[in-house]
Amino acid sequence: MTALAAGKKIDPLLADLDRDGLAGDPDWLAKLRRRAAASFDAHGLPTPKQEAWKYTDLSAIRSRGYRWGGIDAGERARDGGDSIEHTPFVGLDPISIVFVDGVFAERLSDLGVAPRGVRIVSIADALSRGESWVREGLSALAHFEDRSLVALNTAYLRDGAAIYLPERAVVERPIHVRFLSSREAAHHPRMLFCAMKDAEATLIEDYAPGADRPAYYNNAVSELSLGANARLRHIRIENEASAAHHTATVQVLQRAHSRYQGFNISVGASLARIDTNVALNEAGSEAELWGVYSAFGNRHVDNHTFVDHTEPSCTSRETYKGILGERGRAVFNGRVLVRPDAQKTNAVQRNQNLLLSTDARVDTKPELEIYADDVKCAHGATVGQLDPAALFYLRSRGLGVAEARAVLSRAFVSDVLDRIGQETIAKSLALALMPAVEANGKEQA
Amino acid sequence: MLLKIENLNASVAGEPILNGIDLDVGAGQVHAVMGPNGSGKSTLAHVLSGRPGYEVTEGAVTFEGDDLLALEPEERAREGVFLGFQYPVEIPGVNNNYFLKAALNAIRKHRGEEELDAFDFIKLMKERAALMELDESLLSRAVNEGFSGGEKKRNEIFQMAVLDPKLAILDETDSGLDIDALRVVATGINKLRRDDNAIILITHYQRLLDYVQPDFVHVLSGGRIVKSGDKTLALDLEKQGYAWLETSPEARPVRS
Ligand SMILES: Nc1ncnc2c1ncn2[C@@H]1O[C@H](COP(=O)(O)OP(=O)(O)OP(=O)(O)O)[C@@H](O)[C@H]1O
Ligand SMILES: [Mg+2]
Repeated sequence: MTALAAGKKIDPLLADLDRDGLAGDPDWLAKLRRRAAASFDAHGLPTPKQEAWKYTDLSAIRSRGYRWGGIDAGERARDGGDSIEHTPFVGLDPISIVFVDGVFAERLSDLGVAPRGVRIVSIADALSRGESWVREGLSALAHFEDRSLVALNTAYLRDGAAIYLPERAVVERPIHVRFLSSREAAHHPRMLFCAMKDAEATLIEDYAPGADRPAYYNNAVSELSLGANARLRHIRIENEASAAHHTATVQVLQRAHSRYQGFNISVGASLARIDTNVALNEAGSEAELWGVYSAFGNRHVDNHTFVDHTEPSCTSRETYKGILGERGRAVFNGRVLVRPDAQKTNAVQRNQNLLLSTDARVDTKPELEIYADDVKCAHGATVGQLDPAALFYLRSRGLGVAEARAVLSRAFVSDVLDRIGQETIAKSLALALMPAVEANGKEQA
Repeated sequence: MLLKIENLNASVAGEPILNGIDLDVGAGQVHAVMGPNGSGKSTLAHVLSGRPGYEVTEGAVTFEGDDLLALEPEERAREGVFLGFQYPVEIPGVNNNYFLKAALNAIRKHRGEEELDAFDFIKLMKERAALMELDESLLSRAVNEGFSGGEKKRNEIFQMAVLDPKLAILDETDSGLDIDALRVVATGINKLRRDDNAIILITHYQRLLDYVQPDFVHVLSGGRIVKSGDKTLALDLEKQGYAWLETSPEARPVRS
C-alpha cells in the first residue's frame, strides 16, 4: 500500500496491508481494497462521540495492538498440522465450510455435493478461478464509504465464504459457515450469499474461538442478497471468547416477495457489536428478525438493527430478547425507517430484557421513523427481572435457587430459540447464552 | 410429632398477620383449617413453605423434630413439605413434564435415591395422572399456562401425587373445582393418605370434608386459632358461619 502511505497519515490498523498475503490479487480487487483503505484511513474507527457508538467504545481494539492474522495461520490449518478442533452441531449434518483465523480450512470443512449450479466455496478459491458473481457481489451491498468498519474489512478482504444459489435451487442441508479464531490477531472474515429467484437455503454463520480462547479481533462483513421470492433462514451465532473483540456488519437486500428469517444470537465478548441492516427493496418482501443476546461476566454486547422499508406492502417483524447477568452490559438500538413510498408497510419491533443482577445494565432504544401514512407500525421495549412468584413456585417444589433462575431465564428466550427449529442448535445456544446461569443451575440441581 | 407450631407470629411487609399460632400435626392425621377471608390461612401456608417476604417475628416450627424455619424453601420441599397453592403460578416457557422431573429428581437426590431416567419418569407420570384422572395433554404444556382454574388445582394435586410429600398443605385446592373434579381430587387425596404422612387442608367448604374426613378442624381468625374441634366443628360452621366465634374473648385478634 505504498500509494496510500505516500502523501498522508496511515492508520496503524492498516499497517499490515503490505504483507505478502495480499499480493497477487486481481486488479479490480486490489483497487477495491485500496479505495477501502483510503476511506478507512480518512475516517478511522467510530468513536463514542458518534450517536450510534455512544455506548460502545472501540478504542480497546487499538490499544490491544492487534496485528492482522494474515495467512500464515491459514496455511497451518490447511496442512492439517494445527491443533484446532471443530465440533459441528450434533445431528445437524450440514454442508460445512470452516475458516481458521480468516482463512479457509479444507481439512475441517465438508463441502459435500451441492445441488447443480449451487456454489459453496471460499472467496479465495472463487477469486483464483475468476468467478464473476463473486466480483459482482463483493461490496455491492456493504458499502464502505460511510461505514469505516466495512472499509477496514474490505481493505483486508482476502477470504471467507461465498455461496451462490441459482434460480429455483433448494439446498436442503443447512449450510454451516464457521469462523474459528485460534490466536491473538485481527481477522476480517467476509461472507457473500446470493440467492437468485425462488432459491431457498438455511445458512448458519458462526464465530467461535479455538480451545485456548485467546484474545483476538474479528471484524466481519456479510452480504446477503435474496432474489424475487427467494427464502433464507439465517442463523448467525456470535459465540466469541470473553477476551475477544467482535464487530460485524450484516447487510441484507430483499427483492420482491422474498422472505428473510434471521436469528441473531450473540453472547457478547470483551466487546461485541453487530449491525444488522435489512433493506426491503421490492414490494411484498418479508423480514423476520429474531435476536437473543446475553452478557455475563464482564461481557459487552451491542446490537444495532436497521430495517429499511423503501417499497410498498412489505412486512418486518422484529423481536430481540436480552439476558444480562453479573456485570454484563448490553445495548439494543432498533431503527425502522418507513420511506414515503412504502405504503401498506407492516412493521413490528419488540425488545425485551431480563436483568439477573443489579450490576448488569442495558440501554435500549427503538427508533421508528415513518414517512408514509398508510402503515401499521408498533414497537415496545421492556426491562424486567425474574418473576418472584414463579421463582418461589419452582423452589417450593424442590428446585434450588440457581436452577430455578436458570429454568426461568431459559424460558424467557425459549420462544425464540425453539423457533430456530433445530433442537441441537437451540440447546447448545442456551448453554452458550447463559454460561453462568447454566453452570450454577447444574451445580445445585 | 411430624409438625409442631408454637406461638408462631409472622408479618408481611411489616404488618403482623399471624399472631400466635399453636398447632401439632401428627403422622397419619388430616387437619382442616377454616376461617374467614383474610384471617391468615394462606399466610400460614406460605410461612411454613418459606416464601420470601414472610417474616417470622416470634415462635418456632419443627418438622420431624428439626427447625423448619431455618431451611430454604427448596430444602423444605426436599424434606417433604408440599404446598398446594391457592393461586398456582403460570410459568410460560417451562414445560410441565420437564419441571416436574427436575423437582422430583432434586427431591430424590436429597433422599439419596437415584435420579429417575426419562423412561421411568414417564411411567410414573402416567400412573399418577391416571390416579388423578388428569388429562395427560396438560403435562406437555407450559406450567399452568392457560390452564382453567380447575385444571390448575388438579395439576397441584397431581404434583403432590408425583412428589409424594410427608406433609401436604393444600390451600383451597377445592375452590374452583366442579363437582366431579372435587370427587376425583378428594378420592386422589384419600388414596395418598398413609400412616406416615399428613395433610393440612385449608378450605372454606364442608363439601371437601365430606370426602376427606379430617381428624381435626381448626378455625383461624385474626391470625390465631380461635377454635379447634373434630369434624363436627366444620358442620357447625357450615350452619352458623363465623360470627358466633368472634364474640368469645380469645377470638379477638392480638395486635402488637
Ligand atoms: N404483602 C402484603 N402486604 C400487606 N398485607 C398483606 C400482604 N399479604 C397478605 N396480607 C394480608 O394478610 C391477611 C391474611 O391474608 P391471607 O392471604 O393469609 O388470608 P386467607 O385467610 O388466606 O384469606 P382467603 O380466605 O381470602 O384466602 C390479609 O388481610 C391480607 O390482606
Ligand atoms: Mg388464602
